[in-house]
Amino acid sequence: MLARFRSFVRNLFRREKVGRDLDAELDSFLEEQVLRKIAQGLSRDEAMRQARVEAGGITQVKEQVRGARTGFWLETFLNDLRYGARGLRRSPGFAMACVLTFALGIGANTAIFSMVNALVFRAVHAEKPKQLAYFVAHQPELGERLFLSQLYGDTARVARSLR
Amino acid sequence: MGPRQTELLQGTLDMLILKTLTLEPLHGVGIADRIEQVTNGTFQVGPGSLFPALHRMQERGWLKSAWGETQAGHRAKFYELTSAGRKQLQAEKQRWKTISVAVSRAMETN
Repeated sequence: MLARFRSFVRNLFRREKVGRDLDAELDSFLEEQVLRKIAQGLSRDEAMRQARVEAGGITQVKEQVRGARTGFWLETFLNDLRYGARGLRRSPGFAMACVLTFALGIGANTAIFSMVNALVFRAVHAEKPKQLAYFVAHQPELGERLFLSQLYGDTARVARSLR
Repeated sequence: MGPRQTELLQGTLDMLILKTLTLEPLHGVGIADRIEQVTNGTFQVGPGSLFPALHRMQERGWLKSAWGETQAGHRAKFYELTSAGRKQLQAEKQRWKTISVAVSRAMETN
């Protein structure tokens, strides 16, 4: 676990050195294959060519080693980020449209939320909010309706328990 | 007909590499050669699978590496088993025994 963490850090922050080391390792691998083929009687050029073919493309091998390393996902993620940033810089119109879309979306969301938050989620601005109540007047011929605030004064005078 | 090149069973390559390195530190070519030799050419490990495996195993702490010189006299990276690697080899041996016994039994049953 610790060993893995260490190589993760090393791969991230010393990418250059890790890459050079891998290059050197594969170079020495290739060189050894070439020497063997020369010993078998091939010319140096032909030996090089064959060794390269057999290795299946050194660049590909490097890529495979990189893929096996810890922290590979972060490396690709950072590459993707860089790629995205370059793309945005290349087409400023599109970038502008994106920024505006985000701004509008976030702004609208914030506005609506602030409103709902104030109306629904916050406590009512009153001294004893728990004592607040709805009053509904039942009038068979008119149906139910909310008690009008003007009537409050009259009612309060009659019904003392309201306070 | 010569020996057929067989696809390495998943996970078997790690075990073979660990086993190969119990005797002495070896470099990439040396490991590939040794595996080919001891399996009578059944397994030919190309660099495309060998080097990713070596680096992965080193990151897990099973191997450590250092630059050195080959017998032919050029620089190469040598891999060496760590104590964690020895432990891993024991675990893989055990696992392999279980698997091979089970598979043989299955194939011999009529």
